[in-house]
Amino acid sequence: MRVVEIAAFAVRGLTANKMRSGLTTLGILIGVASVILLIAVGNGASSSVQQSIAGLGTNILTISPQRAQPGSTVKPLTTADAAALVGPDSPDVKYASPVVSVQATAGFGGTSYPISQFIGTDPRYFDTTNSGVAQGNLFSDNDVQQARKVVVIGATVATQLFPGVDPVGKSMLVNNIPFTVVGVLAAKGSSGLQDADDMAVAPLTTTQNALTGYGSLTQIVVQARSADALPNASAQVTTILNGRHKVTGTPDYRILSQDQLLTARTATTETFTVLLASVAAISLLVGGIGITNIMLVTVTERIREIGIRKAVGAPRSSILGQFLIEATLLSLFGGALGVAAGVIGSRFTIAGIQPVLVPSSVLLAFAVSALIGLFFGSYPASRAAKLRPIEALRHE
Amino acid sequence: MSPVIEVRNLRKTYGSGDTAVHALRGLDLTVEKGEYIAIMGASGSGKSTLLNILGCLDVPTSGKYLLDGIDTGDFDEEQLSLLRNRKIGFVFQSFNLVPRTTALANVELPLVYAGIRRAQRRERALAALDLVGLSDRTHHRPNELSGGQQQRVAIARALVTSPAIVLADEPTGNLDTDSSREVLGILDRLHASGRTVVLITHEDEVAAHAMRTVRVVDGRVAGVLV
Repeated sequence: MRVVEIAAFAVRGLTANKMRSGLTTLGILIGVASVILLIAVGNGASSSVQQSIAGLGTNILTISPQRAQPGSTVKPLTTADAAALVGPDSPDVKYASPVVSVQATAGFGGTSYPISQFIGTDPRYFDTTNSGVAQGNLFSDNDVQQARKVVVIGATVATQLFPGVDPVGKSMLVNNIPFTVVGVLAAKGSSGLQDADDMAVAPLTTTQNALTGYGSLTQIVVQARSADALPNASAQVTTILNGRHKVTGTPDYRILSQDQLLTARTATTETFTVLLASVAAISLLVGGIGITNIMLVTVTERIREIGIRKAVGAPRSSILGQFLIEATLLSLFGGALGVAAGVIGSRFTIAGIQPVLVPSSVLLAFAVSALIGLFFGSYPASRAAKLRPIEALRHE
Repeated sequence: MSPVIEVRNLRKTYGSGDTAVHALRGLDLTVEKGEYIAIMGASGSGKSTLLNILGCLDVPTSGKYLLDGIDTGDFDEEQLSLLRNRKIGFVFQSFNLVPRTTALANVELPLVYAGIRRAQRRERALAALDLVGLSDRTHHRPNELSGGQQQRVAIARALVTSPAIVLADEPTGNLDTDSSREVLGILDRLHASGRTVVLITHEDEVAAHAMRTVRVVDGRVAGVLV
């Protein structure tokens, strides 16, 4: 009964100054909403990274050259290395595609567009990376042998460079060298940190000829016969490459499976999420300090009222309760609105990432906002409760 | 039967050392049940300090204060608030109503802290407002009431808990003649109905309403005028 009455006093205190209460609430609203939203964005980024990596298949090994260590020489990965990986010594390797990749500027008509990944490889690469064709065709082994200037472009490149035009059959300039577009790949979607469709694939020979030169390959992408055969394939690849590169100590190349890639990328996005969440937590803290500030002002402004209440017999606990409830209501209300804002906000795509709500973050942010009211309101409230009645009444 | 107020050798000192101010220097006072007493004295004589201590708003530095036979000396803040709520009705010179709150809610306030149920609270507050002649102003806020009306709301608030004593610190100090007369009329009626009233005043005609007048000079009772 008494608690209800005291809560009613608190509500009256808050509604007496709607503007101030509203602005204080806004501080908590922004804090809670940003915690929920930024965690959702981080989570969305990591889940799309996981999806895109899983989409590549679970039977893939990626071999890339290791950076030169002091005191050891690094042999480049070559097309011959890639060819040697498929043979009777490696029964579990299905394909091995040599890959070079480079950033290139593409032009068509008046527009130009920087492609973040221009890849030179062989046709098996499409199968290995689960890349389907949406329009036109993929290039063939014959195109690789003849070093034809043909290219298959990703969905992003197609929309950027050929808006409203069918790109198939068109001639596109890549670093001022004309390539004929033979096909457009099916869209894979953004992986959060990078756009998987912002790419173009051309025959290895052509790419080396025209763009990268005949240095080391960027990668060799190996497809194992099955996911279960992956460890065997990895061992066979290691044996062959060690033999070819005459490795004695640390190898001059690195083999990554999709699992390892997934772990590495997940770790990155987790760091990213933690970073976002801590920024949001700081804004929640700032909102909490806002509550302390406003409650201190409120208490100072209402010292006389506190004196009056004490003079008619309000015990310390009821004054403490009244101001604590005021602070908690501010933060709970802000928290509830913040949850609503966060949940609504997470329905929109933010910076190319579709946020994925983490239910525990919603609960946590809301609980924290309630605690913030209690914690940051307790100092002003206890100051109000400790006032001596006569001092409070004399306060001007 | 014990007196409502019994004060023995009451002292109150503000500050310490050379700058200490002795507001009360060993004051004795007894108020019997049903009495109507006026306390007079020059400003700085300690009469307000005395009334604040009687109202349990302040605590004496030393001395004994028995309220309704209860020694308040060893009460803590929590028990004192209970005492203020149940035994004392305090009327201030500056009204001290809670702003932005209706007259009815202001009068109900002590009953809320007494833990009385809503329906009964409303009934008693309306009766108290009726007693001070404000039953038509129950839903007005303090800033919509005249000074005299505000003071009458304050008196209603002071007597709604049926306290043992009603203390009034210059209740007519901020009021014009007509409003003063109304307020004094209400206090007279309270006294007539058996309430114990102690008030502070500067004016002789206000003091004339009381049964006896206590003069406070330099923190002591200088004389009693019956």
